[in-house]
Amino acid sequence: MGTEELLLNVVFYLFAIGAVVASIAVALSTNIIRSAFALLGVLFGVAAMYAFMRADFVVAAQIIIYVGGILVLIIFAVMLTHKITDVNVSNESAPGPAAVFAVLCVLFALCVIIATRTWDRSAPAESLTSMEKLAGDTKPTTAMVNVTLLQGDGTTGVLKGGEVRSPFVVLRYEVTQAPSTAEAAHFALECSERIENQPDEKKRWAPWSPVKETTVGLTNGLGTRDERLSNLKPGRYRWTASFVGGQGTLALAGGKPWTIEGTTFTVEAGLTRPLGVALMSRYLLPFELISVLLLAALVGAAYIARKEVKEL
Amino acid sequence: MNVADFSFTRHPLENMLVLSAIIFCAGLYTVMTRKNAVSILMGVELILNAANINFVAFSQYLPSAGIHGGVFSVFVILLAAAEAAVALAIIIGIYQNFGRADVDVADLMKE
Repeated sequence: MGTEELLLNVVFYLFAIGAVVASIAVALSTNIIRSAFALLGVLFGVAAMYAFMRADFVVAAQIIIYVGGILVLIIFAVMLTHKITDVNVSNESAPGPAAVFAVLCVLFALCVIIATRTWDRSAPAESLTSMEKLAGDTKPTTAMVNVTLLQGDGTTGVLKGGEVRSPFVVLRYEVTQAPSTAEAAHFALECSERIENQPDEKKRWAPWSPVKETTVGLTNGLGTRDERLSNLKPGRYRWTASFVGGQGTLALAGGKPWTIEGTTFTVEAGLTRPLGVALMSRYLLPFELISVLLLAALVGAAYIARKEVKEL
Repeated sequence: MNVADFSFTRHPLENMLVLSAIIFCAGLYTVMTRKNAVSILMGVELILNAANINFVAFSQYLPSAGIHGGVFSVFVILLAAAEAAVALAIIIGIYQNFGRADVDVADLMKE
């Protein structure tokens, strides 16, 4: 585990434990003001979780609407309906131990489901590129290599349309069928970045400097090897991978080196642009309905909370 | 078994789901045991936040899920705002009528 990864884990667990402690404080505190301020901690902790999930727009919405709006509203309600000295909020008729037992049962069931369930982590099929594509125009050989583009955490594939939401990606070489073991073959990886506003078609794809050409040894036969590209700026990229070095069938089949034209992929800066596009296209009707609902809630809340005016 | 096997960077989805399960249970406990309407509202907010973490986690960590979870999380936040506004207006109405903001005083419809 590298330093960057370790740091990410430590910061995640700090925020996660903070959120858990604050939510338990909301549940157990007998002082309602303390509950409200513990809720503030939960909301900030949850916002940090969204940040860990790279959902930047949701972080902003969480802080502005939840912390800035709902929490202030709740604290107002607490102040309006209670004297500060009035702290007794617990329900005398509440079956405390029974409630604790029931909640722990629910938590246990949820954790069992989370631990045992296997989620469908497969990427959409078109984002996979395999060596079979290439094998068509060359002589048959026994080598079979799949190259998969993965999101940075290594567990997820690239989204439809070659969209990457993290600043780093993983290129996974998977040798499913090896050539003869004596053969020494290497992969050269070239990643290039698209230069927008470049009129010359030939100069539009510039080699991307940090990983210009990486050589990956595949001499060990079958296996998987991950190549991590980090610090990708938002933009469009494409990659090509080719066999270099080595002797015989694998390196030069049909007189030219094997090359995989990789998929083009976009590194998204965050969730904001995809969310905006989704809200204005597929989710336009729900979006408008919610705006009407907010207006109705505003009018209704003002109507309920106003003072009765007796007509003469 | 290694501690690193449970780390966030190895299993981000599971970590987020367990966290949201804990926050959900805290919210459930709050809703079950409190009599004060504002406290119950806080419990509901906890439950909504837990659900929202799940929405975003599935959207971000499962490639087949697409963007929909993120969109729904924004909708949930907006609906929570509307819900809080109406609920607090009702709570203040109950307080003005009964002198307390407890949920058991407003039982006129029971008779």
